[in-house]
Amino acid sequence: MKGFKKYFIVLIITAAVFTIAWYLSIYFNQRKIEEIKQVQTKVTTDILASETQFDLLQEMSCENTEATYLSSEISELADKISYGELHFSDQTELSLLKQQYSVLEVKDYLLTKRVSARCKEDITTILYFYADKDSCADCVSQGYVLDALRSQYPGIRVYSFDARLDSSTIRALLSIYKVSAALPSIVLNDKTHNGFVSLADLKKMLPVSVTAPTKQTPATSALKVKSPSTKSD
Amino acid sequence: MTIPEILTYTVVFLAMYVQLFLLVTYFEHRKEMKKLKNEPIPAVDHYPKVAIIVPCWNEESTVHGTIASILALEYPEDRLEVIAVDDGSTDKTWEHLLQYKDHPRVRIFKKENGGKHTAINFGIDNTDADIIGGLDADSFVAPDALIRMIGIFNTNKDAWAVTPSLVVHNPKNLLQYAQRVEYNMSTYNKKMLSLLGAIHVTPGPFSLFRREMFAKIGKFKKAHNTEDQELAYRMQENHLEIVHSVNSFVYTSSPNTIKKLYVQRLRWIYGFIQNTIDYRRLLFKREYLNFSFFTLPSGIISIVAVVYLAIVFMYDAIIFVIKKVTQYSIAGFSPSSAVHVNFDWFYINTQTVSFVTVILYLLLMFSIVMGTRLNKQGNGFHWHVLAYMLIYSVIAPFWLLKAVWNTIARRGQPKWR
Repeated sequence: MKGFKKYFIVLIITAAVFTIAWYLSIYFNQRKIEEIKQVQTKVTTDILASETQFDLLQEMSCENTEATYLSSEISELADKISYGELHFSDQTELSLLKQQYSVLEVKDYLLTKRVSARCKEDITTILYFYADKDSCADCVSQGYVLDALRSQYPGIRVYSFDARLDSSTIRALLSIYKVSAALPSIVLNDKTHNGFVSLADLKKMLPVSVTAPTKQTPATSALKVKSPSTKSD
Repeated sequence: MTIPEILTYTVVFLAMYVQLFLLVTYFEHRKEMKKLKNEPIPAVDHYPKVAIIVPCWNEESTVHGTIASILALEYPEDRLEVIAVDDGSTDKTWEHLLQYKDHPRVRIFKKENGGKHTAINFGIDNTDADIIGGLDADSFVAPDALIRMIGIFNTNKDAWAVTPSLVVHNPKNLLQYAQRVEYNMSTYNKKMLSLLGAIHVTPGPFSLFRREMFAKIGKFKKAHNTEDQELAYRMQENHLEIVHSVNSFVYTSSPNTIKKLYVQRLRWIYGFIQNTIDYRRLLFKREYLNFSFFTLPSGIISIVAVVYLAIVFMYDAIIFVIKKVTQYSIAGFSPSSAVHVNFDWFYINTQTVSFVTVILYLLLMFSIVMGTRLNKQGNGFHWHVLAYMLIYSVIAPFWLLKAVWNTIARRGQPKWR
């Protein structure tokens, strides 16, 4: 090939390679969205099953409750949504999935509270409200604290909510627990703490039943903290 | 899309363009390339007089081997002479050279130290040979290399210089094996550039020139201690063709420590930058076509790409460390703060840049495999390739960054060794 013809042809080939790579990226990201949806469906089914089981248990003993409630996939779902927030170019569908995930979290939270009340179990729950690091500088640090807390006390159930998410469920939670606009906020066993709470202070607030080593609930039912600090996991 | 993303895609696009340009060139000439595999030694009916200049500066341990390899060349004895020039060595190089003082085919000279280019020019001034070349005193030449190169001079009257393929001699450690991979890839690249008429360096080890060329455009210059690059630039400016002879092998010693390699590469890259600045008038000029629109820009692109990606990598690494330190200071150490690997396919990066990077690496692998075959170092892939990619991706940014910094800060040329 003479002159600049080859330069033009190679330019076309390079552009074609990039276009193919772009299509591949879209294809695989769509597959991932589908996978998230599948996990979401599984979690929904699990929670529904747990709720039904719980209704049945109203008339029965509490001996086997630990093995029945809480879907183990909800943690996987949280991980995958966080990953998608970082790596997917199109966030529209993911945002919707995140809203659905928040609703599932709330259902899980309510179910936990019902089990706790019905079976007289001391299950400590934390609702954690965060925002992205641009509008909440302390949220990253708070995420670290909750990660560490979860690591030390696997029985604690932490539910993380993006307070800026356009979700009526989250708005209802913010209103019920009087969460201020100054994030982060933590609701520990129904008591709201606005602003950053250090690990030491948080430990002091924990009930004795949690800090005592023999009273921890199984790790399999634990949720991982999802916040800006853990998005890169 | 953020600005760093745009920059990354631009850099990767340009790097991809360069590799695809070489690939298209290969397939354009694939028949010619296939013939190279079993290229016979050419039948030569005319033996021009050849002088090989051996510039020596403290080469007492290697100079004998170098001269011996020249004397062993398959070429009529009365048409080949060796001119050994001791460039003010401070070791026993001269004493070693004195052993050749009565040799009928070796002439020895001693001069004050003035740099490699002065030693070669001294040799050029002291010979009337038709074809003149140099051979660094740390290199050894294959017996049939000269006759193959002379065959090109005889059949291609437009060839003013012929360059050989360089092979790393007797690698002993991983660093040297990695360099062998690099040299193999370089042979492929050099051949492609030769086919494009766009070679930018006539390597010190055994590049040969027509005598008239020096009269036409002058002899070697200091040129930031990269006289072999500068001469090639000057030849391109004067439209004097440089041809690469793939099957003419020269075995050269390679640095055996990272420090020595760093010094060598800093000199090469700094020289490339400076020579390109000196000859910037050749950039994007239609009359110099491929040298102007491909060789020089691709060299610049490779430097910019590596420097940019190194900066991005270092930035990410610093952010990661800061994050971990912050996490530790706030929450102490916990298993959840440690790095963990998730083998779920979901977490494989499927962004566009990932696919493009994989394709880019495949193109590089093609260059390495083809170069390895051309250099007759095997059929292609060897685990040393991984060592090459690992070692060079870690240390190459340092000499590139230093060379760029020296240029920006006007630090002057790096030392030879």
